[in-house]
Amino acid sequence: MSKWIICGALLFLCSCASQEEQTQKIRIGMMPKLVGIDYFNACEKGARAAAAELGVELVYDGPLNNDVGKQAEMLDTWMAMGLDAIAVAPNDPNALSPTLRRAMQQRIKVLTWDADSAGESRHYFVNQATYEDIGSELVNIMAEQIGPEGDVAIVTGSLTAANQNIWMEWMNKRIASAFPGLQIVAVRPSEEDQQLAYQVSQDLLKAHPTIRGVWGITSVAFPGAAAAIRDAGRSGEVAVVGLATPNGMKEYVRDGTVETVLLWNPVDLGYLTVQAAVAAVRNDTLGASLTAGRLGEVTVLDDQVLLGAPMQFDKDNIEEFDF
Amino acid sequence: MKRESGLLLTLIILVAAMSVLSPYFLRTGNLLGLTRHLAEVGIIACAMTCIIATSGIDLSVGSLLGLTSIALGYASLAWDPASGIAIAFATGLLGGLFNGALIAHFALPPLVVTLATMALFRGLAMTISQAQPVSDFAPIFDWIGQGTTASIPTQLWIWCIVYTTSWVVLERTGYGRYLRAIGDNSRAARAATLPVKRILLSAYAAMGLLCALAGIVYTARVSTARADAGTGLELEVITAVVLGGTSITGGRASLVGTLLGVLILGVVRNGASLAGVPSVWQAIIAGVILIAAAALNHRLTDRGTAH
Amino acid sequence: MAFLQLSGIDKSYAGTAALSHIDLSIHAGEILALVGENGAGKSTLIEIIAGMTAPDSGELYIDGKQVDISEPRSARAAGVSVVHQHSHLLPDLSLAENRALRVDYTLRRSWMINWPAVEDRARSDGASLAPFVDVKRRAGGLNAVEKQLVELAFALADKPALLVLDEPTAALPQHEAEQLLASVRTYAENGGAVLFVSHRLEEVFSLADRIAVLRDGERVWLGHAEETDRTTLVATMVGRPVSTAARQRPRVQVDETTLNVRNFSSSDGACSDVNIRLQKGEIYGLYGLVGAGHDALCQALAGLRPASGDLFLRGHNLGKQTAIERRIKGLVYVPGDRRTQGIFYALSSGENMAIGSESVGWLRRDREDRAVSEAIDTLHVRTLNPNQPIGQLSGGNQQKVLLGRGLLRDPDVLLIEEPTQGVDVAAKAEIHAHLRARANRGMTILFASADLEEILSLSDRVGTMREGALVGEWPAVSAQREEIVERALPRLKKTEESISSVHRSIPWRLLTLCIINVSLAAISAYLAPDALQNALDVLLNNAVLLIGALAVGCVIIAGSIDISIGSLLGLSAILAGLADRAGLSPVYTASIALAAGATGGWLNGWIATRSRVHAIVVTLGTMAIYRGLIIEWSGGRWILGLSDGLRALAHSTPVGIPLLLWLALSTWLAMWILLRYSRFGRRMYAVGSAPRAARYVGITERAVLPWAFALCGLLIGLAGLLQAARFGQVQTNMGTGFELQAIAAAVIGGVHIAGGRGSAAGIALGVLLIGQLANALVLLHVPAYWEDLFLGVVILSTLVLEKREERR
Repeated sequence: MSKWIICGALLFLCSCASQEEQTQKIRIGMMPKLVGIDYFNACEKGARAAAAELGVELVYDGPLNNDVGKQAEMLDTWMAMGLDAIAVAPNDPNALSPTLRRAMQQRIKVLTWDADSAGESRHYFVNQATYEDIGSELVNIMAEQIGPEGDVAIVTGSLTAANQNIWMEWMNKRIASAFPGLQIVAVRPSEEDQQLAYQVSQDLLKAHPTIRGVWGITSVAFPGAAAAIRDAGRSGEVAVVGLATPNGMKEYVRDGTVETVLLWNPVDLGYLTVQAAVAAVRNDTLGASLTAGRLGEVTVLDDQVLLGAPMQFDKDNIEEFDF
Repeated sequence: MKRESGLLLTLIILVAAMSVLSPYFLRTGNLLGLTRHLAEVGIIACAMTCIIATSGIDLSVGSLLGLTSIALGYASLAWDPASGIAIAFATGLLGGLFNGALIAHFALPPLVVTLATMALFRGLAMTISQAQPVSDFAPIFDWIGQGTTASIPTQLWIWCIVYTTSWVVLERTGYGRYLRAIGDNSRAARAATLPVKRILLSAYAAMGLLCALAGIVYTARVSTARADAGTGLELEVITAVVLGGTSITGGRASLVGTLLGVLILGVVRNGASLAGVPSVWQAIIAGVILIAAAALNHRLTDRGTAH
Repeated sequence: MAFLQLSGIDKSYAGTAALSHIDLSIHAGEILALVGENGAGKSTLIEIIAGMTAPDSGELYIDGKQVDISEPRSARAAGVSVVHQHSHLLPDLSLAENRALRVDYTLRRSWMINWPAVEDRARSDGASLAPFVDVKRRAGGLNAVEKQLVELAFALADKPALLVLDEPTAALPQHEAEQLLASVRTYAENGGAVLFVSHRLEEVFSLADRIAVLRDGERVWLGHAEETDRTTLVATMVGRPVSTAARQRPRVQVDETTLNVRNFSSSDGACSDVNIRLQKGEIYGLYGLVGAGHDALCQALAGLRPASGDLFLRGHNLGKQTAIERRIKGLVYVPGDRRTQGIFYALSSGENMAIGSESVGWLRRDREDRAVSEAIDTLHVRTLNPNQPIGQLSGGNQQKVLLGRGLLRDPDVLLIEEPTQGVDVAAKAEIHAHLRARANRGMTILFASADLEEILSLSDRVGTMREGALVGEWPAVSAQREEIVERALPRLKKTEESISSVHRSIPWRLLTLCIINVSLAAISAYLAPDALQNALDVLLNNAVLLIGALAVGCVIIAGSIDISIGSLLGLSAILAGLADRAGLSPVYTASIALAAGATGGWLNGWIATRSRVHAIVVTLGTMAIYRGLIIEWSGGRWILGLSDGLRALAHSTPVGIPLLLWLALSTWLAMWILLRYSRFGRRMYAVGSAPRAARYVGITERAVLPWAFALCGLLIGLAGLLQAARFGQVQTNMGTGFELQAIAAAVIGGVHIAGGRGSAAGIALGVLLIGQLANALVLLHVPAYWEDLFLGVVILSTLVLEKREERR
């Protein structure tokens, strides 16, 4: 019986590995925070497009859940494969630094994307939008919708997620400087779980009856919050603002629960990441700007490649996007 | 021994297959990198083998690892690395004793107790840290998590020491025999006036200590103390132990099998990754291997004890 | 014509013949005794007649017709009732239900169990031998005597054509044994056939018409009881003449008190105010009917039962010391029931003997091996070598190994319970001889036995216990057996009192859960702005969890567990989503989700029962596999914008209440009825309670478990469908961690993790508690990360409370 299992496993591995062994091509490894969610699927789409355009080989894989230990393990495996460049979206700003530094010592070009890694552990960071831009913009939109005063709450992804925490920091700064009347009464995690996001938003409305607006700052938290507010019959009365992929938000934008969805274009982010990685391998360094295929000229600020300002999706344009 | 040789053969075939599939597999760099990431699972699997031998189970190991990681992070930031490590061990010991006391003294079922403490320890880690990760560790942690000693990753040495000790305890001491006896027939163990409560308590306490050790290794490896460290680790560990032939109903334990189980799972994951198999399929393959191995295991032991 | 005829029955295990070419016939109105040493093949023969084991070759004829008895049910249908040596009652079910499982339930409207009728029937069926028993009692709460009597009463009530009794009096005291034998005799006089297995030869001669002797799997003698006598019969059994007559030994008189027991009482009252003084080298036999407290006294003296009083060993009072300390001081105990309290089947014969003598630290193998081989030689243990698995040894040799374990600890005083229960004549003689030799060398022995012959032949002094008290003491030489038995007989009235004083326990757990739930509801109602809306939200948010907890609850009740339900929930939701996006109507979509769930669940159960791998392991594997399939089939994409038709499943509001709630409530109701009133539901309890015993009433894990898992899967499919309908989209991580919540809810609701116990009502209260707790924490503005902490504490406190309730 064991022989059958082994044979089966071997056959399977063979079939999966048959398209390997091409020499001389540039090989790029790209790792999202996790696989199997829409946002990173959109990134992968862009990345694959760029890889096809540039004629490079792309290895795209990541852990099944946002586990930084697993990311470190996969990175070690990738280093052994002798890739030319590695682009990673770290689940923790510090946790991958040592591993990435080791990769840099092996003359692998290391880029981070979506989230950054601390401690000089990468050559470039492909920044989808600065934290400051996102934070301020979220506050601005909220203030536009409910005015400069009132109780508001945040539904975040996970309390350990670095980028969400930094966004919240910038949101607080923006509130303090421009809209001191906005009062954040609660911050609750949704653990990337649809049911939980719905439930905590619903509970927020009850625990804080005076609430005027809710931010949902992940692709799971935002639709969850929107659904809760719609089902509570308070669409239009409580504003929902946040970051999410447009596909998940279309129905709420259509029925008016949500006016504006803020996000950069993840397809472009994946596309730019591969472009930047290939450029870094070919030219060793990037100048002050980068010609990135269909995106044209992109600014490089010190060691950050900037995607540009975040996009706003609303009733008028949201149907044009499919990711 | 029959089963262990079967596992060894499987491992050899897998290694051979992987080295054919990917030219990078057999490079020392890859193999050492592989062991670096197996150390935490390997360390905890040693204690888990002993716990499962007593017909118990510990689902709280991942959470306890997270809790010790947080304890280590805060203590070593506040004082120094040495007290950080001491406090991590103390936390692990307390957590293990808590499990052990509930299981040994209140005679509660381990599955449910550790299901509860799994939530409890994770909740504590989250509450203490306010879910904020801690980084900036002293260089000693780099040596543990990233460095090498005699050109072999340091945590591999730690794993070796833990493994050897566990093997000696399980196979060469009365304590090890008591563990198996309790798992096989706890009423008989009580009637034979074996120190059942103390043995169970100490087994779970040892598990706590090894969780702390693994927590230290993990924290050093990713140089960050995180409350969510070790999520899902319990399943990986149990998979390895069961794959190794330790019977979930207690009484029979094989540390050699556990070691082979850890290695096989690691090789499958690493080799599949090198060969470009997506991680989704790696999980499916691991699941299939687990069920098939356990079924095979059952057939072999069944034949041995028919009367 | 013979009622039952066996012809040419062969059966072998792992190459060793257990039975070879057995021919045997039993006529109506006849009592046939089957005797033989342990390992002679008696049990195997009975298992074949009972349908528990299939013979390798040979035929069975009943009333002249060849029959195929491949399972216990068909044996019973053919008119064969078997009472086994060890109780086969299902411990978690009531006596009434145990009866119903054998004869089938009394039904109402052709499918619903009519409980009052079931209880009436059991009451009348049990009246013959066990009129004192409350049929609503859990069978597990009965003592050994009561169990044996109930089983026999039930077997007689079957009015079988053939009654098979395997050592029916082994656990019974003299009085009850006689009562039982009398009813067997009456039964045979009325035309029933009886096959009777016993080691007690007096019984055999007083009862049997014919006797068959088995030796090493062969029928070596068959004839009328008058044609043989005791000595010849024993010689035939063992193949050589052995004297079984009582022997007195010259005792070395040493006037030195080794053990002095003063005012000794166990806390549970099983023995009270006992005073015994033992001399060095003395063998003291404690006689008593089962339940008289003689065995309890041994355990209490060994420190295994809480007790008070003084216990002097060579002048040192050990009364306050633990069992381990007493053992170290030289007071060593050998348990009576070797199957459940003696043998470690995972250890070798040698290890079984050495265990407890070694230090916790380093094992000194060479020294240990020497001691063990020595003991094996002196005790004449028939084993190939010390490494042979103990399960391969016969009962008598296992008993010798147990005795060897006690002796290796070099005791001053040996406490033995039933030193030769279920042991063949030759081994019995060897064990007795060895004990005498040890006593002659200065060891003091206190043993308890229900076998009067053994008491009289082995002891120097005899004590009799009744109702926990020592009621008589004689030197063995002058002891009169009639007097001993007379003293031991319980005063009848008292026995009835002690049995009928059982009260039905109040369901504390359900009450506690209700109280906590009501208080949580009150807190939330006070805090929430719109209490009614809040309550409705809590219900809606936990509707899916309720279905999930019911699902996993079924599997746990059936004695198994499924941790893949979270992945399965996601899988059925994904399939529902894909079907919906493909434009299928909600009816098809729903069927696909339900079918996917049921298939996935059934597969879990099928693999677990077929491969006999523990369900935790199987579902751990399928958990990864199902989760992988989710991502593979969905391409890692969320499925968005589900159709309104599908959403209506959760969102339409007939009679003002959301359909989701209606569905959850009707699922709950259906499960409540299924668990309480359907035969399938009760079978799940039976299998979960004691799988082996359930097999005897024709309920196999193989038949029940895959369907219990399939039912679980079906409910999970429903849960996945509703979750998808509720949110109008399916994410690939749906259901992660769901299994833990569902199991936690079931456990809090009183589902026993070992199987056999739990109720739909409890599960609902458990789910409600978890849901309300989360809600209340939010309303109280407690930070989110406290939730896990509270959940852990709640589960643990439930467990501790439950344990205390059990002990009460």
